[in-house]
Amino acid sequence: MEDGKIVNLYWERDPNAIKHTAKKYGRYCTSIAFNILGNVQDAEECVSDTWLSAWNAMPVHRPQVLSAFLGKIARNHAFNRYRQNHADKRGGNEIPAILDELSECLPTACRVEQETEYKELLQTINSFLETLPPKRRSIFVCRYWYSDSIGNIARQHGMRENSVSMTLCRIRAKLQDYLKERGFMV
Amino acid sequence: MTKEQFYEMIGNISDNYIIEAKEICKKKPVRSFPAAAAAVLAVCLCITGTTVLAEAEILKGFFKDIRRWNGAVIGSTYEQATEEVEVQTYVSDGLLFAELQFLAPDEFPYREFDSFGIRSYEITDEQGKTVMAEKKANMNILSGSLVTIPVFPDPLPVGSYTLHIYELVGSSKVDQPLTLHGNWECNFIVE
Repeated sequence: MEDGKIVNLYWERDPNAIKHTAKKYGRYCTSIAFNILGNVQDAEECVSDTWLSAWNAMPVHRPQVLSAFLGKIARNHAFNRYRQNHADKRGGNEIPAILDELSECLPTACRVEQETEYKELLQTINSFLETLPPKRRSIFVCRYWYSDSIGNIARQHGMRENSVSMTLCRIRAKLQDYLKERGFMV
Repeated sequence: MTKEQFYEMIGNISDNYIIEAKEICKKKPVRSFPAAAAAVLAVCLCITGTTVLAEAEILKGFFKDIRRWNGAVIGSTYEQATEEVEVQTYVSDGLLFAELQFLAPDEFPYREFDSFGIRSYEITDEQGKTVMAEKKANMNILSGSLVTIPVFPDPLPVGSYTLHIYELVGSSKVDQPLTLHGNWECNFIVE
């Protein structure tokens, strides 16, 4: 079923909306959650929470791109679950490594609680991504948005694992410079 | 900002990039295939039975003098570079781009280059017919050990092609450009 029709079902409060969403995006959202949690059961629970959040969000929200909208919800649920699990010292697939990598280019001067600063930083990250060639941008997004493993990214992009690691390392260094130039780093 | 908050923020990047990454991952990856190098290695292993380590030494690139008719050396080229540079292709809006990456960026001559590019290439279609062949230096400034080159300025018609690269070229501020010979092949699809 087309995305527009699925969104209409949500707006009509038709419970079939969830059935069609699960059929079309179940695997996609499960893989996002699994990359973060490394546990099938936890990932499936996050995906169920995702359908509930989507049901609560539509209406009022009408997503432009349904896959990205659902993916973002699944990612948030999975990361919240990761934090709970992490407090109990369990679980976590790629996340510990990803967080360590991100700490290399952390915008230390940004206060997330200030909405304007948050929006400005988000816009800066988007404009940084725009400067990258599509393939390198895809590698960055696969690692830090989809939380994919290096091995998986290498397979999907026809590269060697150490080339992917090197590429990511260079992108992080470039991002660090980009943020520094724009005053987001102390 | 903590690293967790930063990770959460990346979760809110533009939808376009999320979709784009998914699309790129769906496509069949293309990878350089150092055909000549593989053939040389196979032949060497069959005939001489020497160790892989020794073959790796044989496949290493080397400099060759360019001599005038009277024997005077007027320059040099770098031979057998196939295994030292990885070539990958991607197609964006019908335009072909090649990403060239040094596999030994800290070694000579690669560590000396500021710019790098393609000097001689050929594009063939599925039937092996030449669609495009050019022998002209097309270079870009290196970003670390990687450079992206727009191979051909016009969009190619829809189809499946192979890019054959025969010569690469590197330059540094102080030296004249150095031509590197090898054989790189990449399949790509224009959709």
